[in-house]
Amino acid sequence: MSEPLSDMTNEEMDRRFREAAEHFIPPRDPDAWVKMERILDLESPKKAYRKYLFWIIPVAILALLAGGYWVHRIRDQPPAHYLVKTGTRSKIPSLKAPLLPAKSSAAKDQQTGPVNQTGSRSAARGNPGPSSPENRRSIAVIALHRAAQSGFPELTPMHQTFGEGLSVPGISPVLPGPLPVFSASGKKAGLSTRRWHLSLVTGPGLDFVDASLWSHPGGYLGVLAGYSLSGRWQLEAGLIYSTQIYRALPSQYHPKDYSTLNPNLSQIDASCEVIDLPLNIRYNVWSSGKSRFFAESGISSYWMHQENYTFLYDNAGVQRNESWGIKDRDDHPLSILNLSVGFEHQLNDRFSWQVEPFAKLPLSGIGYGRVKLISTGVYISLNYRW
Amino acid sequence: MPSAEDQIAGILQGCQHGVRESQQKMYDFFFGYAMGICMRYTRNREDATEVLNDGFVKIFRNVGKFRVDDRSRQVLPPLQAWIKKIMVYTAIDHFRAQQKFPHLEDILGHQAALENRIAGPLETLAYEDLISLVQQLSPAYRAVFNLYVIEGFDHEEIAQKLGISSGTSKSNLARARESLRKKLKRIDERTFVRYDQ
Repeated sequence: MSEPLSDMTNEEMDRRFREAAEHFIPPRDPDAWVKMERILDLESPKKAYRKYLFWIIPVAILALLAGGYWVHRIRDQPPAHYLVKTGTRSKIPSLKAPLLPAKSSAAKDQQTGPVNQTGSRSAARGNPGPSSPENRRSIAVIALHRAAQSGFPELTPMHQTFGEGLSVPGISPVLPGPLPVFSASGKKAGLSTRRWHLSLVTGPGLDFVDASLWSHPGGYLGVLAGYSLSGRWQLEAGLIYSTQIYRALPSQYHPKDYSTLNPNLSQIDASCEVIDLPLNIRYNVWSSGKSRFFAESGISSYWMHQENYTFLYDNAGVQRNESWGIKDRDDHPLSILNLSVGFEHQLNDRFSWQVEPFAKLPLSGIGYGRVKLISTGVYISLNYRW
Repeated sequence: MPSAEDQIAGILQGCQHGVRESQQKMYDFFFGYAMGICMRYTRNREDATEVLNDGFVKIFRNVGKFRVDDRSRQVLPPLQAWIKKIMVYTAIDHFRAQQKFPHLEDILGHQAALENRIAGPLETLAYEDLISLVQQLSPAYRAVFNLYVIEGFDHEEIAQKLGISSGTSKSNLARARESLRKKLKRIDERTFVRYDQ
């Protein structure tokens, strides 16, 4: 028979309810986590931005390429002042006509265009010479237009063209300073001077926090687009996927939310998939025939696409591992300094290959552990120029 | 097979680094325990889920600050106590928010329907049935009963937490007990009637 309720003391009733509270385990709700995850997603809006990052990067590269191409086209067009400002010339002079008037007609053309004006004034002032910026600009413009109209018919050194074809009163045909030996088509002997290039990059790499803690080698695969600013300088940007494998000690591992939870942590093994977004500038140091050596430097932004960590704990000789991974959690804008030197060999006018040992030095901590990760390796690239 | 202690240590570390997979594991691991607490403080499972999720948001947000005594090296008992504390305080916040917007929850018909579901001698009542009786108390009685009887706070502490006087706390406890006693008596009587038939 049950105990009469009237006999139950407060303490007894409390005890029964306390016991019920201690042992009551409601059944699992299968939809509960879905609701919870929705709340957590709202708590971290960063994730939403990341969904679009994969699209933003290629669109930005395409925009860069399109913008560069547009700039390239603009640069190739004759400057407006040359065609309009004088009021007497309505089009680029034909190849057959003398580019500049003969000495006898110099006076007549004195008022008509910037080239002749410059030349005459130079003469009148006692010849400031070709080092005058105006003279140099004019010569360059004329040479460019002649070359464009001629369809680059022959490989004639530029200084010869100037020397023979131009007879500007008061302007010496000798240009200031040593110029590279360019042909009329703008080509340096053996090396393509096309401004744009696309590189397919691959290669092995080694990553480490401490040089004494080597792990397995990783690898690189990516695409870079480049633009030659001049014969020596070149800008390069792109996207490189890399696998970075390294080992770190707890003292080198500094996560934001680090706690003293596991004092027995002895080592961390990491394997990370990283999207590297480099922006580099390259300087061609030396060239000969179809080859050249270069040095390159720049800065990279890292997007940690996937980070896998294995934590090794050692409790008085008893070891255990814990592993977990995180996805698309960390990014590190402008956090890596790129340094490299390389050798490029031209296969033909459009294709070349290159080998480029590199080092990537941390400007800030990388990944969850905020480790100062150093990466070294060799890029092997196939370049296409246009 | 790793022990529960090892499992929870790994899960906790993942949560401290914001790993979603670890958060889900922790949610699953403590769901029953935390839901049991939340249900005592709310009138139904829907409200309890709301409190539970609010509590877990606080847990995930502050899990980096959670510390374990280095001497004991045990994670599970202090973590469980910490989670309980967060759930209770979240439930109190929920209670105080509800007090600002009172609603008609003590509908007699609803209570009667719940009571009629419960039958049997007192000692055979399931834990779930006893908790559902607590859920049927009015919010003010329920909060005081839980804090005093289950959590072990004294009236001064309860008064401070709920923003009431200690006299009101004592009065609400007495009324909560009385209400529960009546409910139990009704269940008992119904049970005897069934046995008599």
